[in-house]
Amino acid sequence: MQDRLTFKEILQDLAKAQASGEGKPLVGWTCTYLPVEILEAAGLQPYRILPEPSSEKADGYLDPNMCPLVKTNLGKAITGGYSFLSGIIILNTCDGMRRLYDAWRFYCPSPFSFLLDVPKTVTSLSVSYFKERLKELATQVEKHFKVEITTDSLNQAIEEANLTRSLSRRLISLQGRGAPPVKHSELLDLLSLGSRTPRSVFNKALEKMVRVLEGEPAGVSNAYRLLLTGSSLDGSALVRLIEELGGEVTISDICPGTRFVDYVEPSADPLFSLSHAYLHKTACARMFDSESRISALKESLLKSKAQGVVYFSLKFCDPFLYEAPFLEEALRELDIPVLFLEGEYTGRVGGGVRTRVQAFLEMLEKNGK
Amino acid sequence: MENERGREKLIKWAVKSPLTYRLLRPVLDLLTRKNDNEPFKIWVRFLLDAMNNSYARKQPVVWMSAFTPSEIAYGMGYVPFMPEIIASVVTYLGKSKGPIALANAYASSDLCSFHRCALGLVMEDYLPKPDLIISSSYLCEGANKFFHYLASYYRCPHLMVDAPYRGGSAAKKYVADQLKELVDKSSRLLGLVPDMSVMSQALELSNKARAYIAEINRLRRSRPSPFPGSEGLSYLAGMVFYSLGSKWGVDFFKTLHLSLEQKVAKGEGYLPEEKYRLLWLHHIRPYYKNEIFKILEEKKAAVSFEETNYLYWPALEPSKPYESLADKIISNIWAGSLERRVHAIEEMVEEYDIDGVIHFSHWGCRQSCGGAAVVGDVLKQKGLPYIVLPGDGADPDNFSPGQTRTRLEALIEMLG
Amino acid sequence: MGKRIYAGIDIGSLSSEAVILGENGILGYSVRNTGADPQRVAQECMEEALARANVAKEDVLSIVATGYGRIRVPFADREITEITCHAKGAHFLFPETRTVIDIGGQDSKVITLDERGAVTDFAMNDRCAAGTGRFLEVMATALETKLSELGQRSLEAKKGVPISSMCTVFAESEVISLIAEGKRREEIMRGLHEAISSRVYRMAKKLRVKKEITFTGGVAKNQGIVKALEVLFKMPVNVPDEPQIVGALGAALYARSAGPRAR
Repeated sequence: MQDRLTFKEILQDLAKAQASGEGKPLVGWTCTYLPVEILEAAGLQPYRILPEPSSEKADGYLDPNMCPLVKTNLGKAITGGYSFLSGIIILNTCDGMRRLYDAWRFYCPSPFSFLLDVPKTVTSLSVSYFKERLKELATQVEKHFKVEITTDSLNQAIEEANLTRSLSRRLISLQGRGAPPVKHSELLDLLSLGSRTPRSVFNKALEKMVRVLEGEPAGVSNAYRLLLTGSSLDGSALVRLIEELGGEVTISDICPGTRFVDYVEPSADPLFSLSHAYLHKTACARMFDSESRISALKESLLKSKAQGVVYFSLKFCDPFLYEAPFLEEALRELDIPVLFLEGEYTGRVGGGVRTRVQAFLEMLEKNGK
Repeated sequence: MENERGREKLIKWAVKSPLTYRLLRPVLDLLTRKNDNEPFKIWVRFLLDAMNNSYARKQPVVWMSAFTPSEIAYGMGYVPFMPEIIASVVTYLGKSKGPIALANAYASSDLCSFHRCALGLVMEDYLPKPDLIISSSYLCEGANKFFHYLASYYRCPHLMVDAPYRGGSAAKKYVADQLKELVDKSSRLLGLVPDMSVMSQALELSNKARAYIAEINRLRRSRPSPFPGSEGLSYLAGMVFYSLGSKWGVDFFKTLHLSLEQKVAKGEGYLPEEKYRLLWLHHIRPYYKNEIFKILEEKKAAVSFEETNYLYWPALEPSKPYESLADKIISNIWAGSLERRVHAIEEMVEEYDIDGVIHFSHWGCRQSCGGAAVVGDVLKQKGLPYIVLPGDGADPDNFSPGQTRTRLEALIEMLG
Repeated sequence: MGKRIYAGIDIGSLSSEAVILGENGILGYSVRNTGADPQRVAQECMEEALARANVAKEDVLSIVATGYGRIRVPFADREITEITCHAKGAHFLFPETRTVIDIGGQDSKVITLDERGAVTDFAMNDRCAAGTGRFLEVMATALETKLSELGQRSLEAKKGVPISSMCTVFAESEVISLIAEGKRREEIMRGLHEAISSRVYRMAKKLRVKKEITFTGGVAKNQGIVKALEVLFKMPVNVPDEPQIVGALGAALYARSAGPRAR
């Protein structure tokens, strides 16, 4: 009971800290390929742009057949929902994000906007090219915000972020050990809150949680163990539904949440370290090579002993929709059933989804898994 | 039932036999001897030749995405095969529905119908097997994943050119280095020694074609419009994607140039009467039977130019293939920031004396349609009537004839 | 006789209308369901309107057809889109109109016009019937009420239940599950009207709406939607007495301004 209480308090504290931002200028960002350390080294507060799920879809400003996350984001931007940001950094993640960058600048320009080019391959060429782009970002940030980014400040930011990453991974590793002390839905909420909260506050909260929870004995759980993967999720409603229906997400590879860098090596060339580490992190489907993402998923499947996979894709998300057949084939080889769901970033789980999730769990039961 | 299956087998055998294309050539030559559309005839012969080479497999067959410079394939002595273009031809022949229906069982129906059509053809085993697949990452997000999936399907290697968003020297170097790597890797994979003199020759051929394209585009500024936009969006665009770097390309553009020169000299337009001049945005149009261009003709509206035929790249330097193809990739107006595309469109509006603009919106396309509102707002601010025309390039089931007519006619009514 | 009489006919996806126009205004009109045979309904509509106007067919100087089925009206002299016609008709009824919202059977449109009634820009819904007359018909069935009662009943609710999906198929199942959850039907109706209105509002906002707004098409008969639109746009919305005939009226006005047909 006590851990539940702690968790609630921690979330409230974080929400408060997020509102204050420690008085630093807030800079919006969109994708986990951004080394936020560069912003932190510049004394800025990174703020991940994650609109509340809504049906406000910037109709008329973008074609209806565009990613609903992009449309919701633009809808919020146009109605002034991001006017508190001192700048935005959008990444070259996918067609949707590129067009978001165009429309945002055209319809509601932010004082500072930057598009960070991210390669689609992981090679020595791409690592050095990405480093060039990070250097350009750092220079632009220095110029616009009249700050200085040094090797030392970058390394310090890297170390603080490394602490967040290792604590988050420890917390995640507590998942799936039977009656998880933190439900996966709560974990996803926590991580997405963390992506907009001052680092020091978030680290303190994580430390406290890890200390309390690691001390608790492992429980027993009868829930069906699932792996969740896919594109950006529209909040944690789907995971809550799975939990309500007797399933348990024991591991996930999803955004926002668990698709972050594990570790960055502080060095004399921190921009190179960042370029290297960020390109080598768990891949999003936007990357060229689907095999590495799928083999990582297979590994987590085996490790987490998941019985089934839930594959979620936002509608019109080309990277994840085109990759779906790959994953389905790979899972068929492993004889792991997969449930494919599409969402519109409304944050609501319709009756159809409930039925499908429930039927999927019933199917796992029949399979005797 | 048995008969049906037998017929299907026979058709498949015929489609996959190079002999078919060698036989078809004299037959089609005979059938079209009275047709004086010489450029179109070259396109047909080019396609037959490409199919013959693709199925005969005397040289390595390399599948490519439409936006990957075809000069690479011709310069390496490969036979390029472009499934996206082939899907549009299959659509033109009225045969896209079957393959699309087949692919829909595996791929979301929100994905590009050209990819789904090609996927269906792959699954039915109609297409020539690739020895290698090359794609590039810009413009179309889906293409890479699509080609990657095909590579795993055929168990063949897939190489990609990662085209950055930003320009400048770092980007150019990044692309040039990748192209060099691509040439080295593909030769190693296919057991060939690259002959750089063949590469230079391909670039020279591409340059020759480019010079004709520049002239063609200049002639198309004439009033009345000498060349139909519907054809600019079909075989003309097809040749720009598929033939640059080959002798076919030079032949085609030279012939087209000559025919337009004659038309312009005689003051001949492609419409009986031209009252309005329109610009078509997006790379494609619906290729199945539809009434778009008939409606426009009824209203005396010419599609005078299409953005897809805008000449965006500088002449190549045959002695520096990697750098100059990198330049071509980086100067693509549909990649990178939207401002560049908007400026090019403004230039086209000016040069072709445009009265109104149609932005086609292909259901499975995000890259170009995503900018349709911004482009529209810029043009509307200049007082130019502009419509977005939703539809689908390859899937006739995803097209509303009634709505299309209403939008087109409303555009014309706005022109006054 | 020297009578100057013109006609407009609007063949929509769900309903068809004819308007007979004299020099001093509308002489008669007719509204019918389109059904499966647009040619026949065009004929019937025309005859009915002529009978009500007490005008002989030969006296009509020219006829303009509009609407989805405009190309299937054999006796029309000219066809013009419903976009241009709704602008014209609305401008005639309310000369200060600068924005027309037209929600018909399968389409919804927002049209901006200048002081002469000429179209300056328009937006139109896409492929699906979300938020149109057809959509409301399906929802009325799901709510076990008459289409004509939806508007009035929704005004009895103090607040609307938020409806997340505007896709006809998804919204129908959402409505059914809301009923199953025990939500008040009036509140669901109000929620639907609010969702439709905000969809139109968003489509309109992009075009930079100007005063006055006139609401045309069959859905304008639904007071619930009128009310919701007025709240969103923060201004009153003109609703013609017979909002369904505005397209046909516009067509007749075009016939009149073009003058008698050349014979």
